[in-house]
Amino acid sequence: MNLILEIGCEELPASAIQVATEFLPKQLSEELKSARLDFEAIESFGTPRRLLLLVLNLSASQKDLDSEVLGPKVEIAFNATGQLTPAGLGFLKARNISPESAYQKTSDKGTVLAAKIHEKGRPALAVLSELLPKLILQIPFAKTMRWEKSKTRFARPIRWLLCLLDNQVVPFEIAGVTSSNKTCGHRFMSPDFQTVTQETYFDFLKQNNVIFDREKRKALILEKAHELAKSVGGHLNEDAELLNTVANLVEYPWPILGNFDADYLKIPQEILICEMREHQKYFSILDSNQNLLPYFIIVAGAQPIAEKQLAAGNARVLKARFADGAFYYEEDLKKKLTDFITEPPQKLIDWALKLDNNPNLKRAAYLCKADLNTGVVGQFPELQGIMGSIYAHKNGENAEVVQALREQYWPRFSGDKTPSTKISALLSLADRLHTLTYRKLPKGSADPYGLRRAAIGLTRIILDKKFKLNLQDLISNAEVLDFVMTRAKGVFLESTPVLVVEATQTAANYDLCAWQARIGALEKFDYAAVSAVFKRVSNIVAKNPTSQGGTLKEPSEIALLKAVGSIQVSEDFAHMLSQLANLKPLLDTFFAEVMVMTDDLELRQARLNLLAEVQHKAAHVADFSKLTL
Amino acid sequence: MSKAQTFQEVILRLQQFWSDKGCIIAQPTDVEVGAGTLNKHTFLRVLGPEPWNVAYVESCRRPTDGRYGENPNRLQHYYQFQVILKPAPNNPQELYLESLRAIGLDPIEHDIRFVEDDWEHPGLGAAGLGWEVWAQGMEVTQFTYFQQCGGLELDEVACELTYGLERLAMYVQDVDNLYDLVWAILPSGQKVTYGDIHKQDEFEWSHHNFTHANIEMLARHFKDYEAQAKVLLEQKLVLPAYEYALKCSHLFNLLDARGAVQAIDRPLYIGQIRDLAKQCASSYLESRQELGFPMLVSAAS
Repeated sequence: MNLILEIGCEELPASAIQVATEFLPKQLSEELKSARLDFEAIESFGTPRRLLLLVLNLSASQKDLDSEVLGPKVEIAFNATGQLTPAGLGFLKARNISPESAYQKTSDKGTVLAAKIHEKGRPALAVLSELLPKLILQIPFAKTMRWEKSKTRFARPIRWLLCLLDNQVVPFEIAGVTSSNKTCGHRFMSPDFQTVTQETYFDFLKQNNVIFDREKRKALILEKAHELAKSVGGHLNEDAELLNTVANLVEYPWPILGNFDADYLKIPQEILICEMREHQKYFSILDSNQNLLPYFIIVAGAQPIAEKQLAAGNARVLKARFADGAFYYEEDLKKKLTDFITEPPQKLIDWALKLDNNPNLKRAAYLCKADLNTGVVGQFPELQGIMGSIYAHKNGENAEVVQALREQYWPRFSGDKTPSTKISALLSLADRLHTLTYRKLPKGSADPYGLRRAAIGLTRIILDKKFKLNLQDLISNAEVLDFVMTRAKGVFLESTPVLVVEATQTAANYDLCAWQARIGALEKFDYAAVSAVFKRVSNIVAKNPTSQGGTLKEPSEIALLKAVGSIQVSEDFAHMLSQLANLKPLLDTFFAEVMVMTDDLELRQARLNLLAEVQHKAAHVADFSKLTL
Repeated sequence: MSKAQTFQEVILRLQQFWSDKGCIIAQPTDVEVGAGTLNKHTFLRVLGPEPWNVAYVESCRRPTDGRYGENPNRLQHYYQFQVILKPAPNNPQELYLESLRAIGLDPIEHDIRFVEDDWEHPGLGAAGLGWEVWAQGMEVTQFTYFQQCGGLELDEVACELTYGLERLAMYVQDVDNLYDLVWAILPSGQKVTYGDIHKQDEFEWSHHNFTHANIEMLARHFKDYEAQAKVLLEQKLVLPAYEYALKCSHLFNLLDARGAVQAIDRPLYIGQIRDLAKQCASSYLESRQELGFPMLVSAAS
């Protein structure tokens, strides 16, 4: 049998569609398994107005279940003459077991009355009508609301429920809405509800202007948008996030080209693109030099009656937005960037100087938050940093300073680029150190000041720019230091096994680049072959302190002493590892031929000292004891 | 439906539409407010279990949005059309779309879209979930299922529709500059525009808001009105207390427009207004309870 579930809603937020379409198939698959219902596949799709859940080849009924039930102890179930007592009879009767099929079973709890029962599987329809409403109300939306008297919570009001198992309606009710075999098409183009069947459902959606698969909507938008951009001699300013947003705003996307007065191109194109993207959700079009062209692409929610009028209407809105942007920009230009500084960001400046006493860095730190008080950034917070750099450039600030202002927030998201120059990177670092040490550390999942992001960004900048910094020297608060190191570890764990990351942390001693170098060297090294012997060394050394000892005499220990002595402690970890690998056969022979804990106390101490030397060299690269499984 | 020819016809048709749907047609408040939500017909009436369906025009003031009458899209004084449906019906979106058709706006032609927007007014302890409704890329209505007001979870979820009248009328009349909107066509055929009625206001009030409003006086009045509101609350005179709270809110907006609110004082002002709003809300709810929620009773009989 096949199941179609369609949850009809008032327009869902994009994030809610995402959460639901991820949760529903995963959870339903588990629920069906535990309900003993087999199926071939589950799929889920979403549009702003409906969530779809499809199950293919679902078995018609649950598998039967054989199980054993345990009852009261025999001394309670039977009387002295071996007759069933009321308690014994009651147990059997409640489970519909005949006295003949009951038996005695002995376990560690004693001997009890027991019976095998056979549970006949129920029809899938009955199981689903209980399971589905619960499943639907379990979707973990970030935000939910109430809208009617049962006070049911969902991301937006549920207005219809279509639920067909083959062609039978699976009956249930949520928030006063009863499931049925009816659905509707596009809100404006085909709003009437109609009866559908398994055979007609998908055709119905298609013919009634609902593209239920987001990936199809995205592909359609992209194809048409590329075409439109090309038609005016440019290319689409591709934007995956915007594409996702607009694909989740409509059931039937219809990209349309609009244009604006080229006069507005005298405003920095960052402002224009931001207006189009953030406020209007329009795509922008660039020429081959990445300069903005005076066009935009709207993704309408239906095939319009008159495209030109629709484009003109949108252009009018954009014009008003641009006029406002121009107003703020021109107002801002009446002042110098320094005029916007109400109070110099002294703590940030101190951090910058702590990192590097460079006049350009100092200047950049002084200026970097000034643009937060400008009119443009007040209207478009996304343009922080960018506006500062535009105004700084107009004020004739040094190019390095201008660049640093522009890149101070990089990396802005996971996978974003890090600042391109040393000064930019140091400014970004100083800003993050300031945030991390100034704000309260987050508890739970909330992170209002973005401290996790700050710590991850800090890690990525240090690693990308190979800054040799000891974080312990920089961050005096142990809790903050621990917080940062945990995020740094998280960054390494994205690409490295946990054993390697943990084995190298102590040796790196709060120097992230040194940590990375050790990880790199260790990953290319066959540590499995040597870990056990170094672990043995480290165990012995941990238990025995070093002190003045006697003279070594056995050939194997003298060979080991020589080899250890020749290993130079350095930052060339690959070289050190190959030298440490050479110690392995020597150590094996040493342990085979020599008794470390000999009764000769002076000799014993000499051997312990030798092992301590081995341990000292090994620990400089990694804690091998953490590398054994 | 034919297009509404004038600004006043948009209002008249919306009033007729919502009156036909069972709304009381109320009138704007006579205290300065930043939005129709602040009118007691919304802010207080959404509290408690009593049913309440109302529609009214609100005259709104946002001092910082003044542009001296020079910007074709921005005003420091503008009009909202506010609808409250409590309890929320099961088809508010359909009703809303029908109301757009009633003023001559076709949803496909104007690419009407419901774009997620969770409305929140921390200063009033009010929050809801819903959308900005877009027409050709412009927000023309705020559509909210009220969940909380005055810091109180609502017994009955109310549906709030806030139409931006100038923006809607600009689409209906297809004009680029709001001052060109035709407000009325007189029997003589003479057209009276939005500019004829409001341009001088915008010029003078912008100068007042940004330059001439007396900061020291505004701050003093804020203190006086806040104190008065508290006294009235103690006397359980919640409706007068609420008006004084509204006055405080407007004075704060004026101080803000004058650039006289230091960053450090902002949370203080907002906190004072929020406290008053919350006390008014819970005090109003109590007073209705003491009266036995009369409108609940009359709805049932």
